[in-house]
Amino acid sequence: MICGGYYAKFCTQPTLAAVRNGLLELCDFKIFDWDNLSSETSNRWYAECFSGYPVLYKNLLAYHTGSVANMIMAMAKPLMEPSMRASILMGCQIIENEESRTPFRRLKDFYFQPNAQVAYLNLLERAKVLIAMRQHNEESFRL
Amino acid sequence: MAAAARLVEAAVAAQQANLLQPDKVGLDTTMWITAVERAWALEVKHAVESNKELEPLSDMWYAHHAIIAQGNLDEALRRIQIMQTFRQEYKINHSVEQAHHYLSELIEQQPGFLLNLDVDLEQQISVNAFDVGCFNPTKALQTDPKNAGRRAADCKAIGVS
Repeated sequence: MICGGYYAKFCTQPTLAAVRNGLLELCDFKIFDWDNLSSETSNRWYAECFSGYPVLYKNLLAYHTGSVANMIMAMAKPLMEPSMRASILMGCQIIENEESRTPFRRLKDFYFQPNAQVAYLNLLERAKVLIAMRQHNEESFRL
Repeated sequence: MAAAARLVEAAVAAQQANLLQPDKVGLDTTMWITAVERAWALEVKHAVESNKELEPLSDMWYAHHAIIAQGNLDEALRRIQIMQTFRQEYKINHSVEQAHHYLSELIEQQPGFLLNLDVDLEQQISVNAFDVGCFNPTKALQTDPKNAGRRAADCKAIGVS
């Protein structure tokens, strides 16, 4: 699982321009609760990988944040990368137009189109393309 | 034609201003680095190559670390050391096959958690999207290569011994 998280980040850095422009991270907290937390998991992953992973956080947009998410974020902020800490925007809502101004829409409603299965197949294909792009750039780039 | 001419003009102007150094791909600006970033990257490369405990990286990785550390050599070396240990412990090889394997595993094990990963190639902006309420930490540790045995076939397929 930690390796999946690693590759989710690695895939988004196929070029130096993408590295420089940074990562936009979108997190939906609508059904987030204490059960989704584990200090063992987060401490270990942070120590083993994410404290050293070279990424610039452009923005971390937190959607549908409730009291648990607010509390967790407040506790986690001091441990975060400076660029991540500065990029956090809590309480985001999905708004397509005035009529859609509703707290019920979730990020998955946008990404899982036409359904989760097809969306995941597309995601895996996209990841392949991005990794191949990175490989090509690694082979051809010289300082 | 006019757009291409403008691009060439901009590239020449940038080079003359010594702001950007094109790589050998030509006018693909996505792999350009500034003269300052290049100097940082060469400093990182020199430091890694003269440290016997660190494995050499590709020039792109040196540039990648240099851009993130923004000239802070100690910070770049700290990250390189952590990532080297991680790569060794988890046998990370950055192949398409391994990436596909681990992302599929993540999707299967944590349904609904990973929503998207992508790069807007026009703007060169990356996106990760997660539904954090779908994350199950107990399951996450169960299939950790360090915690659980992996099936031999899987290991062979992705280069993990």
